[in-house]
Amino acid sequence: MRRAGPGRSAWRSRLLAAVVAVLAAPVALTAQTPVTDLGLGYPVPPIDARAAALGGTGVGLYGGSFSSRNPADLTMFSNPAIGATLAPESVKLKTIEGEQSSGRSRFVVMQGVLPFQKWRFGLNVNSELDQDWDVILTDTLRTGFGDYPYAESRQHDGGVSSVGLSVAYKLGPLGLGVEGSALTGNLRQVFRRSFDPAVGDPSNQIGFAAGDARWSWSGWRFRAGLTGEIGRRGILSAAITTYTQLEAEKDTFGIAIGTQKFDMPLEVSVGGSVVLTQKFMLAAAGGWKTWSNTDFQILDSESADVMWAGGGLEYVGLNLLGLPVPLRVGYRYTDLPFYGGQYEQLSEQAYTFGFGARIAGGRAALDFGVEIGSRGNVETTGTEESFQRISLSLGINSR
Amino acid sequence: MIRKAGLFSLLASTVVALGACTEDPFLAVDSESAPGVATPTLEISLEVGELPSWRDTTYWGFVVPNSASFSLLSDQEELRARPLGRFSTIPDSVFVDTLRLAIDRFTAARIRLSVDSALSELPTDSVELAAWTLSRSFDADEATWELAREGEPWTTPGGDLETFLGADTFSFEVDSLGSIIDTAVVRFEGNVDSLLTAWRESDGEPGFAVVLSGPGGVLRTSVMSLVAEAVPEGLDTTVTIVRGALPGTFIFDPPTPQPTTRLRLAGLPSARYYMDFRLPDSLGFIPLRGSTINRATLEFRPTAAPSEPFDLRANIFAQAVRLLADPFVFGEKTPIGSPLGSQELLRPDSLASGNTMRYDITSLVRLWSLANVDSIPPLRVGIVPIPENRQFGFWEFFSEEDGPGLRPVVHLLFTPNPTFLLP
Repeated sequence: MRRAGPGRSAWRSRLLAAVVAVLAAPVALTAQTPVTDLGLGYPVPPIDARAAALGGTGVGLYGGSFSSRNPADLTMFSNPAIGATLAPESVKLKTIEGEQSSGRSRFVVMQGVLPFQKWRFGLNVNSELDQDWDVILTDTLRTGFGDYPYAESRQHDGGVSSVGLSVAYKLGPLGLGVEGSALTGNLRQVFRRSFDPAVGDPSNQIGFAAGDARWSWSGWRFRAGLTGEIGRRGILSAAITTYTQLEAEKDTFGIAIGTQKFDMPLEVSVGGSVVLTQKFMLAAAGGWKTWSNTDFQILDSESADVMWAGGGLEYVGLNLLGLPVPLRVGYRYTDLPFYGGQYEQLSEQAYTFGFGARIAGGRAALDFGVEIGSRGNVETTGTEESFQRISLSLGINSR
Repeated sequence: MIRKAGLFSLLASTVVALGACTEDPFLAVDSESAPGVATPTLEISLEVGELPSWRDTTYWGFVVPNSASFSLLSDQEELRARPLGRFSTIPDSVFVDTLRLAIDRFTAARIRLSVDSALSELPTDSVELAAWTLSRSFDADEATWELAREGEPWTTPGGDLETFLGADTFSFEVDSLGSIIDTAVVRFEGNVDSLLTAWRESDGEPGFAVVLSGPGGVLRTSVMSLVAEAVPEGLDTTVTIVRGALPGTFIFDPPTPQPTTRLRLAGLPSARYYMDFRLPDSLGFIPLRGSTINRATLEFRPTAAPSEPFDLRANIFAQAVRLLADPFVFGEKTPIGSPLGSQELLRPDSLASGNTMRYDITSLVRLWSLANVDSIPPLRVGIVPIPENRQFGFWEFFSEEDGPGLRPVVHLLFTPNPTFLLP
């Protein structure tokens, strides 16, 4: 038996460049990165279509909302109700090489409320952090065995959701609410490189390389809120939210082989609405999230505090085909918490509009919200997307 | 009705809106700038001295002249060769129509040689082929130019020729039709009946030899047979009987050189080379075991051509095979398993130019990479000529005993498992 001698240093040096490549590869956060790949993903606002059309408010919204920003707002429901919101968006990712179109589908929020005397009991299921993305690239591997064209697929599938229980109490013109939510969900990371036969030699094949990992998310969130009527025409609402650490447990093939923990932000949101006239209502909301507490240890990601604000106007004077159709318009702005270390923080802004309709004899409401906006700037933030999001909410026995 | 129409319109527009948001993947320009986990596909060549362990050796004797599919006849200075044989199955009766009749006598006999003109070095001048009886029996597995059997030398090297049976002169020239004769017949002279009867009663002992006389040329024959004319009892006709030489072998001089530390393939006795080796579990920080093995080959650099007449002169194939036991314990008896990769063509002109021979062992290294046990036996591979019984010449390759740059190489193309991370 022969033992390797000095020759070992040779392949060490030969492989050094490759080692660097392996370690450096996941760090790449460049101008081809969608926002769902930044940090912990894209924070999905837990709002229904009405709130989305009104500038993404969803706090202290007159008439109640299936948004899930403040448990105290449940006191605005006097009947049992349940509502769900889908919000697919089409996206154009701008890169240095050009624009690419894709889309994202999200089940944003489901909110149920059960009134009992002055109490309101709520159940909500929300999307919190969207981590879905899928990228394909093609290239050619040139080796001493031959030149192999290949197609490589990298995919992240999953995200963080929450399941929350809330209790609210109506105390005169005031509403008090608390909510406890479990953060859950998982993320599946997939890599696959499929090689074609060598150029000019169909019998020369090297197969493929693949791998995948699955992470399970867990954590807790606690939220308390207060809402109050101001006169008969106004509502003011505020909530504060705190989290435990978000824990990611690597669980591939059923074996936990790694755990990471992330600090989560303290959130404050304030909003309200006022009925200006019999046919116009004005809504506005804003908030602050201390995402800068979140440290990223491994990849070259950064996080920063987030400020968001939005507002909109609702007009309820239109009837279409015999149905009352409220029209809404608004604008919103929000910072995004995650960005590549060599870039600046991203922000997102959108013009919003939408409408609603009461159907089934008033026992159900169908609301549309459209958001047309953009996020980031490819030169300064490394990621730039334009998007059109359509929110669709269906509520039953909501009023 | 109007309300239902309105509701339908809303639902339809919803479906259209949702359908417009399909989740297509983004197309990235290159691996470096694409998001997500990347793992490179790496190529590395490890000379055997860089491996945790490597052993190689040549074993020979898998095919000897007795089991080869050919015999050589030559009267050159650098190679003398002559077939030996025994006609041990001469019958005492023959079928005539539906009757088996005893043979009354043999009236004529000849030895017929089928010449493989494509692989022979045909003499340019006329040569004589002569048949002789032997005065000393031989062991077909052990006979050499010097020995009739192990420990028993010929009185005269090259076989103890006793009685001249016959001879003929041949000229291997292209005839008017463009073909070359591929059959040589040497007719027996003298009392054929007495000779064949004696061979029949002694199972062909002690045997015969065919001797080529004449400068130049190496005739390669594939079949050597006895063709005899027999007269059945009670009939005045003859019946032709054909019998092969059993056993049949050939002896030659000089003997095939003994294998050295070089790795030999083919030749007579036929040689294979076996090796066992271990691959490193990791290369620096990069784990090799557990990685996806895209391609793995063993590469051998050829030496210069062996000296004449033992240089491989025709294309042959070679195959890497899995060895099922330790070749350094079981030697040439090591059982071989399934083939690895495809057969590789060995071309003497390419080998003489120094072109490396590569053998695909991807499937074996993949198994090693996936093995989920702590103690993995060495990888064991044999290189086998195909077909194994048709080459007189051989070729050799550098082994672990040779210097850097010449030794065998394990060439790998592999993709380490991606390291999936969160930020």
